[in-house]
Amino acid sequence: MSRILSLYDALLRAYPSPFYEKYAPVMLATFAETLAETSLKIGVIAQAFAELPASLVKAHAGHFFTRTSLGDYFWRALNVGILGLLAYIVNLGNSRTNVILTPGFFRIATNLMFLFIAIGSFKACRNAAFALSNAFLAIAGTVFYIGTPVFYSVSRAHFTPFWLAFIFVPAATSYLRMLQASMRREPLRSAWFSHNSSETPPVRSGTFIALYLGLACAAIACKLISWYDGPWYDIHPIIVYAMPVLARAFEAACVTLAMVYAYRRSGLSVAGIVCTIGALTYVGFSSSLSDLLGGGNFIDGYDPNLTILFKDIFKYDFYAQYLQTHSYVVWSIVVGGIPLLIVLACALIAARFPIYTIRVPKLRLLLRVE
Amino acid sequence: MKPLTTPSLYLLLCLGGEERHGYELMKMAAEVSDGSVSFGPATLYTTLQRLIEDGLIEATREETVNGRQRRYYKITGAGAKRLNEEGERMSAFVKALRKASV
Repeated sequence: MSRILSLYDALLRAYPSPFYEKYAPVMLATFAETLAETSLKIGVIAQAFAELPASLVKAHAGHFFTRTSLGDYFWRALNVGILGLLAYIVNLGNSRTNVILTPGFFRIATNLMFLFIAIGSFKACRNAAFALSNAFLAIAGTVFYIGTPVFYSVSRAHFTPFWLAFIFVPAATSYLRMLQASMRREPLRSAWFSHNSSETPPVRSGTFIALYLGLACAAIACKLISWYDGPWYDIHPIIVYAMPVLARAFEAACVTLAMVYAYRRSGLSVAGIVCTIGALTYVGFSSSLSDLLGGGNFIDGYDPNLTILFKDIFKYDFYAQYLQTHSYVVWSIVVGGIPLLIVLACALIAARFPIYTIRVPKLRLLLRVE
Repeated sequence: MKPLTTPSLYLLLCLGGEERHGYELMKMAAEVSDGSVSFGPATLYTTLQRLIEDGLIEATREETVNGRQRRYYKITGAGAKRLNEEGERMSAFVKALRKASV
């Protein structure tokens, strides 16, 4: 009997250590008591050992996804970032389509990374820090972009958000956690950023739409300003370097808000997940396109592949003239606004018509605040 | 709100009256379910942990009996409420089933 208990104890050590430390003594005691009192010893032993594998998997999954450590989320964000980087490197060729696809992949990865970081901040800080961390990210992005002298080098420009994410967001979030702990009343506490429990009041569509449109308008405004370099020559570097970053931060906030809204309204539905991924992809590619069109590369003819591509496919002369003469506003809305409106529509559809609510405990735990 | 799993439901049911320890819960669950619910230690404690995380039960005290550690659990207010809700949900289904004469 003692050998069986020793073997059982040895297997219990495969549980995550917090679980083992907390439950192993009582599990062993319960097992020993059951064995001592039952007449069906073989059955009890078989059941106890047979249920271990599934239980171990559950405990490990639960342990991984319930940890509130920001490090976990940054690690996940880093993984997504590395995948994006690989997609970027693999696609570095001379193929004409790569001028859109390559930065597009990279942008999707960046957006996903922002999403993970935002969720991490959300879990770690519960409310105000979620919004403030993103704002801080945008500000930090501005500072870094101003200090980056080679904006037109796509690779350098695309690397910047990664450093920002790993330096400034943890610092901001840690600071806000401390601040939150010291405050009696949290100034930005709201249904949006509080516990996702049964006590939490439901989020309203009106609030969501107002918040969302505010963020989307800010993103469009940033895009618009970044393209408009007329009378502001003295602060031109700020406009050129900072505004695209701010626009991207607002876009990421829009996608995150939409995902949180869809989740809070209907749980994790297939519609919600598909719409979020689709919207994220669309935002990624359209941002990439908007940067190519508005970031200077296209107009300046910096990238010969791009010039050839647009000459061949998109009627370069017509669009170049059109873009340079009048239509900053139109382009801002088309490339910046429409994708964000699509995200908004997806979130509302997902919240209203959850096609099929799936059981994804890991994701539920990822979004839930303990 | 996602319905509770069968093991969780039986554990809440067994904790409805008074605080109990793990082995007691195993025996009682088998008894009240006529043997259809049978826990091993791993399933029992991972389910108990999940219920604690969800705020439906809480660990109250520990004691050592015959050299064996025992940890006692009791249902919380939220757990009792949830148990009642699950009961009402099931009653409504049974009523509908009878009405439909399936």
